[in-house]
Amino acid sequence: MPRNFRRGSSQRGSILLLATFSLPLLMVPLVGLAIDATIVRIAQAKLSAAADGAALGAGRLLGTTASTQEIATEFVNANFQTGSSGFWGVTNFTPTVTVTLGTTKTIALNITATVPLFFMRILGKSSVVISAASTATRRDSRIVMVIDRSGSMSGLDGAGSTVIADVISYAQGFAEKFTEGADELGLVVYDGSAVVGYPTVRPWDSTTTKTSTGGPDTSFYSGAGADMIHQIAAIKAAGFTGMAEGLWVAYIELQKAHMRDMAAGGGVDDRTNSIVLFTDGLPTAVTVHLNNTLDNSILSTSACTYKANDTQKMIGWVGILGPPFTTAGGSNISGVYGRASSDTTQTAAWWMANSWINNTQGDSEPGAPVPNTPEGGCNNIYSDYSGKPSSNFQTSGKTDLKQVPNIDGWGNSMDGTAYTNSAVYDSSGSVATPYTGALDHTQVTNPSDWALASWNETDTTANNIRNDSNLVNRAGDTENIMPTIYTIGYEGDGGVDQGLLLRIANDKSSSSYNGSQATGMYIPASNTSALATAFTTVASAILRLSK
Amino acid sequence: MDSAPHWYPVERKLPMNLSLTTATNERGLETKHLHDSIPRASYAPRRSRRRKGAETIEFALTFLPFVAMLFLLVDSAWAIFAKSTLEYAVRAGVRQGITITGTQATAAGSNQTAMVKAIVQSNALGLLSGATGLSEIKVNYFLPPAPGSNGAMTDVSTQTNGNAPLNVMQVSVQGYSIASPVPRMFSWKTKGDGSAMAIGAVAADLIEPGSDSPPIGTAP
Amino acid sequence: MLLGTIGTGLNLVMELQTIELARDAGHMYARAGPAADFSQPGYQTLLASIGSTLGLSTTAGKGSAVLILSQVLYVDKGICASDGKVDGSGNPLGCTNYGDWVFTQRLTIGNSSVKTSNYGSPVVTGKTPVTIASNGGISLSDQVTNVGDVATFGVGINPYKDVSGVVSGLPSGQTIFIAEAAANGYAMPPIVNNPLMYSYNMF
Repeated sequence: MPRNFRRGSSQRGSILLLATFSLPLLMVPLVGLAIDATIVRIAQAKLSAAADGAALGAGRLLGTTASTQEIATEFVNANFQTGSSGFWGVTNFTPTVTVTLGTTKTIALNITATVPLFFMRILGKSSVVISAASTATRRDSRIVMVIDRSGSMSGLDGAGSTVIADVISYAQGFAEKFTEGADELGLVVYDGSAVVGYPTVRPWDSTTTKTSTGGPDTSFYSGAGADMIHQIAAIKAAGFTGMAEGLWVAYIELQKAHMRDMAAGGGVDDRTNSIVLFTDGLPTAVTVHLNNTLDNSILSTSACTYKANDTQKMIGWVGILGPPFTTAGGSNISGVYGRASSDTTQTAAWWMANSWINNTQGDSEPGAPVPNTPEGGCNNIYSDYSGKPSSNFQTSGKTDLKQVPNIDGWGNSMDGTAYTNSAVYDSSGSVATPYTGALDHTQVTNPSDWALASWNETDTTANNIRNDSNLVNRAGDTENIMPTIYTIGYEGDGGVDQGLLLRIANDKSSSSYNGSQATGMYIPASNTSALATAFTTVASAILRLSK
Repeated sequence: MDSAPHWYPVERKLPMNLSLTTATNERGLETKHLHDSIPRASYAPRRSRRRKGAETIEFALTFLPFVAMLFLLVDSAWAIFAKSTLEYAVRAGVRQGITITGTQATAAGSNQTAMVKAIVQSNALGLLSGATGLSEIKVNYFLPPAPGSNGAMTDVSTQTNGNAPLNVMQVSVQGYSIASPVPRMFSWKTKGDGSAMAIGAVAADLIEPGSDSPPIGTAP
Repeated sequence: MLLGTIGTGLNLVMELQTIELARDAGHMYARAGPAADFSQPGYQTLLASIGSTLGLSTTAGKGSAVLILSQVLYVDKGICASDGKVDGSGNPLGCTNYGDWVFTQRLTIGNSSVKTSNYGSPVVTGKTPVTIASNGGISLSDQVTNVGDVATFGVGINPYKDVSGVVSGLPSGQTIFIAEAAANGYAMPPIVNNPLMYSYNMF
């Protein structure tokens, strides 16, 4: 008996049936998935890009006079155009911009929009809501620039100018990137000794209490004749390279402003703290406290009046002449000079235009020991300058000192073997290998040992700054100010020590990188245009916008 | 074909033979001479023996290509969806990854590379799940060339300082192959060949500068 | 429907990639500042890998995609002054582009014949051409005095213009970073003819 007589008529319709059912149940959702989902992704990506563009574009202006709220909205509208000619027919485009001010300024963007769907309509879903968010934060900055104005800086830059003229111009450009009235900037210059160029308060206050005078302020670009821009312009170059003292004086300046702002802000200060160090060479000067009771360096047989106690502190700095200490030898140790920061007579403007070497006055000159004061009675520690008994330690072979000090004039250690991390580079590449011998503190007449001590001094000073080691001495303060140090090294004047500068900054590539301290940056510059770039890179890094 | 039983009376045999003949005629089963002599009834279906299998063949012929096209549609729709999802996921990974701070890393008990991979996984809608998916996400770090240099970017992913601020972070999906949602038609027992349809996605950006840098983790 | 799905779908994915390329490149360009020189081969290789599916090539004139990076500056009195184009009391004198937006940098990566910029291009031919340096930079004097360096925001909107068309309250020296990405999509005639994917982003 034939059984399947019905099959023929029903088979004819089966493809049609299959297609009819599979269309809405299988094909449309699939195609919907591919096409509609991708369209939604596209709209979402564009929305998110628009939000980011607005956050960055308006965020740049946080803290200036511009209306960031309005500009953020304009950016978003510019990046994501809706309407008839708009983007995939997106509607209900709603940006919400919230700007909060204070020392930490935030701009928060939240955008929602509705995207129409094409294929999924068949299944009842005609549109979907997408959103994107973006934020930009800018904390007001507190920055002290520390500029090397040693003698080598008056050399030519290979492009028709001098290195010091270039640095002056770039430093001014750097300062101008910050906001007058909102950011706090200060200036320290150093040759053998460091001195504060801005603000111009004199005499200089080295205490760190809430009533201390000085510290970076917000009037650095006020246009006044004594503002920071003018002070930078007045810098003259001559002398040694007392890098450690430059850093430490900058640290004191940061602390003073911090204490002042904390007192004015009800116990809160959330500015970022930065030090920007520029140098073109290796450290060649140390600050000393010769009759420090913890580390007395005066021979008991010397004639110095205050050799046994420090009722009068014998403080000053010692200059070292010679090649990078990584080779043996060195040509000269100049004796002890007075600290520029101890001077009470000259103005800040005078100091910018004069270093120790320009000065030809008599006993009142800075840098020369003043009679009847701490150096009184000594015969063999003076500098060989202006008529005092000459004390070039190396040539005379006579000295009142018994050791190269272990602790510098500010309390930072000069001991250790950290100098084995030295790596001197000039613009052509590496020029010296690290010195691996020992630092012998008894070799008072050997410039190399003084130079090693100077290296150590700079390294430990920077480390102490990054640890905010002076927090214990700030009454009423419990928070580490987390200073970030940025270093710029100009390689065209004989070379800079990359190993040292990486360590000072706590750059990620530093041999002693410490994750619990602030991470800074070291930027080498082999010529003048790289130097300009270095300054602007540091400015951008400080003006960080976070998302 | 049986005729009516011989013991039937004639007057019954005739209608019975007639109806039998008609019935067999309807089904095209009658003998040839009868077929030629008996006129067709108008209601009889016009199907002939030759053509009865035509619909079967027609169905068989169109069913396979139709299903194949359907599967191709499924595969390409899925591929497009997967590609756009992966593109989106790597972009989300970069966008958030470049702002990860050391504080965030410590709070999460993790490091930058691991956190970025987790972000990509969570944005990939399950396409990159599990350990296999994780191994297909690559996070590379590059050191930009020095100013004025014509050198290439240096891959510093294995160095502890690879994620220094202003270095480039590149997040990519590599070696992800489409798992076809449709079984292969002809070799059921053979495992699907996924190698022919690899999809990739790349996104990159600069690591935000900041003084709170997280540990890099194991990269790529 | 199958062909339509495949063709449209592929082009949609390419459009997603142009958006992401414009965003990634623009963000890096705007954020990195002076340290990143996108004319260097190292950076161009990176951009080409992000835009690889679009066919972005590091060789000029090759490939099926183009990435245009521009930096645009508003010329106000301060800018005129920095080029010396002011009179004694600081008002613009001989400052041709005063009040306009001009290009300070223009970099084109990939095949420039795919699309030209929606914001105009510095005019590099003719009697007084704008000189574009190898790193894409344009000199200050060209910015201030050369009419060929003016950017046009005809198709796009300038975000720094408020409703009445006036730029106010902006500090001097404000720049906009613009990244534009364009790529030739898959042509599948007659369904999809000569598609061009384009995306821009301003930072």
